[in-house]
Amino acid sequence: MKKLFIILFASLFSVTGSFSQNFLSADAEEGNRDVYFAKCWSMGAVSVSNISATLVSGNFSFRTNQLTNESNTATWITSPWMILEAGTISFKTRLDGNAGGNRNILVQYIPYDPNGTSNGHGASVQFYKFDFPNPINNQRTIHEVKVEVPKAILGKPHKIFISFVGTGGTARAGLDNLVIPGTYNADPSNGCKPLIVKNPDSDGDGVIDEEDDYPTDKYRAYNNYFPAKGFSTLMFEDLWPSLGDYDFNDLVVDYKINRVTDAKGEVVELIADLKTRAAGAGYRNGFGIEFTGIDPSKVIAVEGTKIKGGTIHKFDGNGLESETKYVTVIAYDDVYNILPHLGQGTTGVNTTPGGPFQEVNLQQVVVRFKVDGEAGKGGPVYLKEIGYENFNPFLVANQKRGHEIHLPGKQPTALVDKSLFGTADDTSSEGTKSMYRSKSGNLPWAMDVTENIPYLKEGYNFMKGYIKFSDWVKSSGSQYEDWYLDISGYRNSEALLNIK
Amino acid sequence: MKNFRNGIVGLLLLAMLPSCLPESIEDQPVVEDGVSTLVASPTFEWATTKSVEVKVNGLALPVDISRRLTLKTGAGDVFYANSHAITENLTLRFSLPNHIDKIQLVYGSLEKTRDIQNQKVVFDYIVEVDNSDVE
Repeated sequence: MKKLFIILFASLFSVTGSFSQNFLSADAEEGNRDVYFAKCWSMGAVSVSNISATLVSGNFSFRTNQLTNESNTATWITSPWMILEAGTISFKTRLDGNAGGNRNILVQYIPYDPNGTSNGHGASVQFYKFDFPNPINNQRTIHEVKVEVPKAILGKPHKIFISFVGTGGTARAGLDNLVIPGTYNADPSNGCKPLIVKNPDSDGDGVIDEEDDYPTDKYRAYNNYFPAKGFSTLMFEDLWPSLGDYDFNDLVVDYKINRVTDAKGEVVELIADLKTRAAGAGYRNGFGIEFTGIDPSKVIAVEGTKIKGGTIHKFDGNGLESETKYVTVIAYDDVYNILPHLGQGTTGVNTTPGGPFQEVNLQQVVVRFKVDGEAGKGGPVYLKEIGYENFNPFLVANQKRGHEIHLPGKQPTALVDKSLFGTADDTSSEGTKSMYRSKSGNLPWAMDVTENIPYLKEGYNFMKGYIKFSDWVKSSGSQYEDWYLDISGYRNSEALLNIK
Repeated sequence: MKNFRNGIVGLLLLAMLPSCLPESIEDQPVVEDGVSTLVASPTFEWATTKSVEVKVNGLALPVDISRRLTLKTGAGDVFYANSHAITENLTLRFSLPNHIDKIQLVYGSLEKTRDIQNQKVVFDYIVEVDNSDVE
């Protein structure tokens, strides 16, 4: 069975010593010339075909157009860039039996010239010519062609360039089992240029500067955001386990998470950009994020949290909340640390139409998993381990640590007051998808909207501001799945505030 | 008597005056009902994102090539970047906004955009070549 694109290691042993040789081969068995192009082979007026008249071996061979042109650029195959080694280039070829004047195959090389054409081609040099014996009519014999690699091109990047030429008639050629001694040296992800063409990597982390989000920092390489664009908006009701006024403005927090990874794909730090926009509540609520499944011992330090003196929370030395099972960050224990109440007769902050409005500031919370290339004592965290799926934000209501309010279906932290589950309007049954849903209507106490959206003015419920929201819910998401977008007919701006 | 009647009318007009003024929302919030009629399925996720599986089929090559693989939304917003070997298959799962319908892959000079179909997208490194040169 033929194999494609394999490197064969042929070792020959003799009394005088041993050597091994590499080969690059092409036998058309991919059955699709697009695959060969993807691997940096190239061809013109040559197809990959199973037509029997030009089939040499296996199920497919390379098949030329009718060979009636003596130009070496009319019908051709070029190899990828290779570092050629001493040895024999070989292939099998045949004609299809049709008439013709003469038919020849030119074997050439193309040197790499960085100052040459856009693809680095220098001038081609012919070093062998195979002539199909005349007469061409009715000739179908399979010929094996062998030619030595010229010594002058050994060790440097070259392409082998095979041209099919001819005059008159309609005869085509087939070619198969092409073997070229040497190593593959092309980069399909760099325009098929030779691998020797290297782009600068200033910090030496293995990620070239133009692809490195931190080109001069060897400990950081990539930014990985969720959401992909801008901020998402989290909205909470804070009377759980009782339903409230359903305006979802008791706490409004925009977030954008960046997981900074190094060249190995290990998370160096998680940067949570938070904008607490509104607190339409009488309670002094806190806000935290659990990254479910991530062991706290993997965290080296937490920075940027806003915790007041006499807090209800306990913290470990690395800044994570104590006595939790998974990484739990308390961004702030009292919303007024972040968004001070302005007084002036308003109940909450930034929810009263007409103001006054408090300025919204960016809070950046950083969770460090690696410092100077060293992971925390619990080992590294990989990018695939920490993402939107285990992002578990929650509100801590009214300075009562056990009063955690999560997104529907999310699990509480180890510090929740379990006695509250199933009481008042709540139907939570720990460990199930019923968590944080109401008895009547299965309604949530929190929502995470993937776009940055306006929130509700005090006194308006959510359906008043987002006109298609109700249809989305009642249809279980099959209708108006984009209800949150700013599309004509989707929003009632009279009910909405957009302080940010 | 006429003065008394005018006085009464004047007082009534004065009393009605506030109702002609714009309503002060701050003082009298308009609470819209509707929550009591809203019923969701117990299994409804309340999610504005959808889970999308992205598969990248590796390209068999006799060399090791590894570089940045970037995934973007159709609008060009990056949601994944990591080093990846071109020869290796890759399967990832992302939560993407409900309204996103295309994903773009960038791997060096290779760029491809594919529609999300049935919450899946499959990429490879094979570029369709114009076959107009072949008879």
